[in-house]
Amino acid sequence: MSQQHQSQPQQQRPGGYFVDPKRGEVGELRSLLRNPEIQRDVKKHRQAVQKVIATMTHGIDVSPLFSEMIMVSASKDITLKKMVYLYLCNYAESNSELSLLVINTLQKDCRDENPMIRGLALRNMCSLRLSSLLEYILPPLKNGLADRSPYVRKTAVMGVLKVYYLNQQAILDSGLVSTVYSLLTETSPVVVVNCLVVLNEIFSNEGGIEITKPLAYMFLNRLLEFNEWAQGIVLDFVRRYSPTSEDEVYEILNVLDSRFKHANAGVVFAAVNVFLQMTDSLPHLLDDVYQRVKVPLLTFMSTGTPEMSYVCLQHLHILLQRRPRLFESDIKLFFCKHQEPTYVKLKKLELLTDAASVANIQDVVDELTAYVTDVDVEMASRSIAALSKIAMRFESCAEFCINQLISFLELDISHVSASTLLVLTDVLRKFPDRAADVLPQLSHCLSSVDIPEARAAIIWMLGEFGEALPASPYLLETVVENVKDEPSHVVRQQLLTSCMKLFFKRAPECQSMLGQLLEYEVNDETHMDVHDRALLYYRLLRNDVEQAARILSVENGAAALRATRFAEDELLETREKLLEVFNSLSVVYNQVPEAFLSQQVPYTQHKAAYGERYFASLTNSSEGGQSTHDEASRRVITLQHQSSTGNLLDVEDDMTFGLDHAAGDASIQSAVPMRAAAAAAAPHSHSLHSDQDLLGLGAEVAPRSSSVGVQLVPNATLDPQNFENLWFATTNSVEAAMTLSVVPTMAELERTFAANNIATMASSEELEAMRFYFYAQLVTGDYVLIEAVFDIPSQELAVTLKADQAPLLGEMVRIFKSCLIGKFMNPDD
Amino acid sequence: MISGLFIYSHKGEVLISRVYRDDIRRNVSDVFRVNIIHSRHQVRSPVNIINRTSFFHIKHENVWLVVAAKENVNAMTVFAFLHKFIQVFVSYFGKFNDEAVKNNFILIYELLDEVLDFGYPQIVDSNALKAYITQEGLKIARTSTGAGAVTSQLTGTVSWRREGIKYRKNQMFIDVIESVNLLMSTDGKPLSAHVSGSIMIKCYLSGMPECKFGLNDKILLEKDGRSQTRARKGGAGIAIDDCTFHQCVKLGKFEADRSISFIPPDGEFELMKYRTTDNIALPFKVIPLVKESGNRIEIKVVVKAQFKATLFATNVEVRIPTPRNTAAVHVTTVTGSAKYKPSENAIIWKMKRFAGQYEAQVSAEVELLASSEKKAWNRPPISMDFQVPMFPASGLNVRFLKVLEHKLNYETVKWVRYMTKAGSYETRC
Repeated sequence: MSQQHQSQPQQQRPGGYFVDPKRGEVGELRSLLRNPEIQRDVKKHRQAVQKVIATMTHGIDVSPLFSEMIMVSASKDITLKKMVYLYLCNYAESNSELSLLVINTLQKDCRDENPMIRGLALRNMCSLRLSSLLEYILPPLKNGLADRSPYVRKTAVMGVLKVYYLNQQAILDSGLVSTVYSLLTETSPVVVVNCLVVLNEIFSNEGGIEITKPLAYMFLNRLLEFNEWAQGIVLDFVRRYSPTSEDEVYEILNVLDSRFKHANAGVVFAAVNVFLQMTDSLPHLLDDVYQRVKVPLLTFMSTGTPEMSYVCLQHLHILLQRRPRLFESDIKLFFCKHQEPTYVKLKKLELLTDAASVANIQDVVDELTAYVTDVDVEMASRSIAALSKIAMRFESCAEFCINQLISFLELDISHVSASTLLVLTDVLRKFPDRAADVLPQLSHCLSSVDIPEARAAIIWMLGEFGEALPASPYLLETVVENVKDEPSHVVRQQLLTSCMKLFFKRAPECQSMLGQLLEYEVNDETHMDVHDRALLYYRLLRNDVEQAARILSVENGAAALRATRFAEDELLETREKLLEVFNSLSVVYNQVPEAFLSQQVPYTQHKAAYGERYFASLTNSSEGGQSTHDEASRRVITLQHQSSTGNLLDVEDDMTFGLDHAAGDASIQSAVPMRAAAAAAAPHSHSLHSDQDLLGLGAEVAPRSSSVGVQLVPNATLDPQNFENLWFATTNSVEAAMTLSVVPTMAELERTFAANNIATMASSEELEAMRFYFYAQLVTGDYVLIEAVFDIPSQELAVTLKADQAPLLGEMVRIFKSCLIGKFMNPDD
Repeated sequence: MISGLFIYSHKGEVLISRVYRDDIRRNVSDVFRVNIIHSRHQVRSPVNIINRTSFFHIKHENVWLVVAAKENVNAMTVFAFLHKFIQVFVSYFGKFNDEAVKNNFILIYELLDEVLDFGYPQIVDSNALKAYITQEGLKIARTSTGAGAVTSQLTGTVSWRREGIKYRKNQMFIDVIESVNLLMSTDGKPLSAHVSGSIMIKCYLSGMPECKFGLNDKILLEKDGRSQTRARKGGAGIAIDDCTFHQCVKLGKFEADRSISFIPPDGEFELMKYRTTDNIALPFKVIPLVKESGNRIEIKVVVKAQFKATLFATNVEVRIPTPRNTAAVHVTTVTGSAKYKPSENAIIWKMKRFAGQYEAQVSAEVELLASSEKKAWNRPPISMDFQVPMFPASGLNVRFLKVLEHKLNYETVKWVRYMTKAGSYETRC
């Protein structure tokens, strides 16, 4: 390889720069750069530098060549210059002293008569990210803003922002911001838009620069001068303007109406956004506005690339949720095509389901039925779930949908049957009289379906509606006979309940099988929850059969009513917020921005002060009461939610398959609609549900904590305010450091600790680190507080633990470590 | 705004890495590779968030074009930018693939330096960029006067055209290219059909010409009160559901009187895109007949050309899917050639030329392996590919094109072509 470089540097094969670079190559490159023969020939010289850039792209550190590369920067050749500047921008930070050498050349270039070179030099000078060179950068930057060429001016404007991130104070003191402000009204549109962008970022804490009427009108009048990308930015700015009268709204919208014909999707979306925001408070206009804006959106959806279609579909969904009948006549545009990527198909499926109305229901159901046999398993199961959703929403076509669902069972495709069975449990709860049509299919399914959740669904139906099918006790009997070979506790638990229920309906046929099952399960201890339930039933029966019958045979009416509530209802608030951030990633993720953005940590110098500020923000939010806005307290809420599902775990099955004996428990009732809705929306959530995790917890944690003598309370709670108080009040602390073998995600770590009764108070991601605040409660009631900072490059986890009782800390460190061992850490560390 | 742009080879090797903002780490390219390119799961979205960094990706030929962003950016603009970037790339290097990237990577870095500054799109127009970034280095930029002209063009209001262009022969070529998209049900009922058309122009005109372009747009015709005269000639104009225009078109004028006027960029560009759903003339009808009996499937497919007998279609290809467990296929046809391709699980039936009103037929016998899999065959739709020159499926017509250059006052030679292609043309069976 190295020989090849020397012997034939100019005869590069296509892709020759990418041939197997090795670390030893840096020395090779150095000799190439130093070779005077090569330096004299521009072509060869370019090739040598090109090779350096290729190596850099590969992720190999070529910073040792810094001084050689600086020499090249003096060259007259622009291509060489550009390459060198690219190199310098990458490595200047690590070679700040040597970088001083290049400033001279850059300053000279800033005075070149060619505006392209002036722009190039200025752009790169500002990208060096060296605060030590600030004094050299500011004067050319000032000149750049007043340059006669707009190309240089636009570069200089952006340069102001780059330097601002380097040293905010220097820029604020220099007066450059007001220069940029004055350039907002200059002639060249490219400069103007860059000014807009820069000022918006500099004043981002105040929500960008203030938009006044003259400013808004200035931009609207000049809109057509801007290029397509700039128009998007300008429209986004105009969106923030609040017109003073309705006539003004009309005026603005009339001006912008032509934007819907623009070829650039970014411009169209920005215009749509202006329409939506400006009319939000004018309800009488909304219908017309939605009808108007849907047209260009549908065009991009049906003719754009798959990626654009996908983003478009997400935005259409937001509109649809506000105007359920918006796409009544456009429903066919959401039909899936065979060769579309799955992500587009799945999204179209959601829209098809939600856009269904009495007028188009027949088309929708036919289309959904066609997807059930799709090769993609997820597509099939989601179509089935969609059909059940439609059945529950439109009573008029429920019968038809249910017939379709029943017919899927006859297709004899394993995953189709399984998904269908799962949704049928919900459907039957609402339409119990259809049970007589479903049950005859079950005997056949019971022998062909092997997914535990689906089998449990069959057994649930047999227990709940067993009276509708003469053979149902015998079907259950075959399962009972093979119970030893049944690996799934979900099935076994359901089997117990169903046998009990059927027993009260058809006692003579069920008595012996129930006895057999109870006996087996009481003696078997592989699944403690199954064993416990068997014992409970056994004792119930022995105590008072009448009473037992009353507890188990609860009417399903109440549950059925709730099953018609969908998860979306609870997302109403999110939906409203999403409209505010229309035309952004939020809509694509279906989350409010706070949920996925990292907190604003502007660059490393603030790192040290961060911990304190973090606490300050925690306190503010809990005082202010606007907890949903604040990242940290939101996490606390999530946490409490998790713990409540944890409590419900022992009645998990009943939540899924009807309210049996535990119907009286208020907390369970409140959880049911959510659960049922989740089941309706995504049948696979059954398997995703936390029960496996939490069961795992029961098995793992108990022995561990008993062996170390420190017992942690599950589901401990602590509010941010108390956490902070405790943290500063507690003086006993111990520090520990450990190296992890992998880089976990924040969620992974938090889950792992949560499974071990260590809860997360707050966490945040910083530039190259993650920071967590955990807490745990001991059986004695005392809290242990933990701060953990994970440094990503070195994979070091630095932990500080605080507790009132100093002796506990050592044990606590061990528990903390033991949580990590195996998954994230090697045992010997 | 965009924090970084990366190009990966098919296997995940980083070919280009350009970081624009400091809010992402330099190793962020590894994060995408590990989590998306090397992920064992099927990619479920073109936008993914990993550790609070959002990644947008497009797969084009054998490369991944990826953007990383930290903030709540405007997703549509990012994708619009990426597609535009691919266009620029193609107009520079012919293709956007692994080899083109590797061979031109220095020039790509130069382009990346111009198209984005600190993550904001600046000049993303190949006509404008070509004026000062060329494969031979920087030709024009060497002289400062040339560079001045270039930069003023870049930053002016008609950024897509420079002054002083000269041609000896002034010509303009108009191509109306339409893609018909069809989803036909088993019983021959169109479930959904639409035409997405685009008007491509190749422009070789001197000076700063102003062009005016007219279509048989229903609304315009009715406005002009000419619909009756046109009706006699056949066709009262077409209803365009929605259309979008190149940035050179004066949209205000279109809104006011539906006239399309513009100062064209030099060379090739897409003037207009449109979508119609009404009165579409479907060029082909596919009538499938599938009989399944035990381990055999009999397939008969009839394809009928529904356009005028004087026209003909070229490169007609019918793809008839077969089940996975196909053992052998016997195909018979008198028209074109039909072959079973095991690797694609389909019978591919190709005809070079297909005259209007002609009807062709293929029949096939598929033998199946006895399979333990109980999965029923889901019968994917039969799809078609074709090109029909001089046949606009939407019925769109170019009525006139006027070119006016006040200073030079030349005659322009104009050419118009029509072509209908298959978009996604599927018939369920």
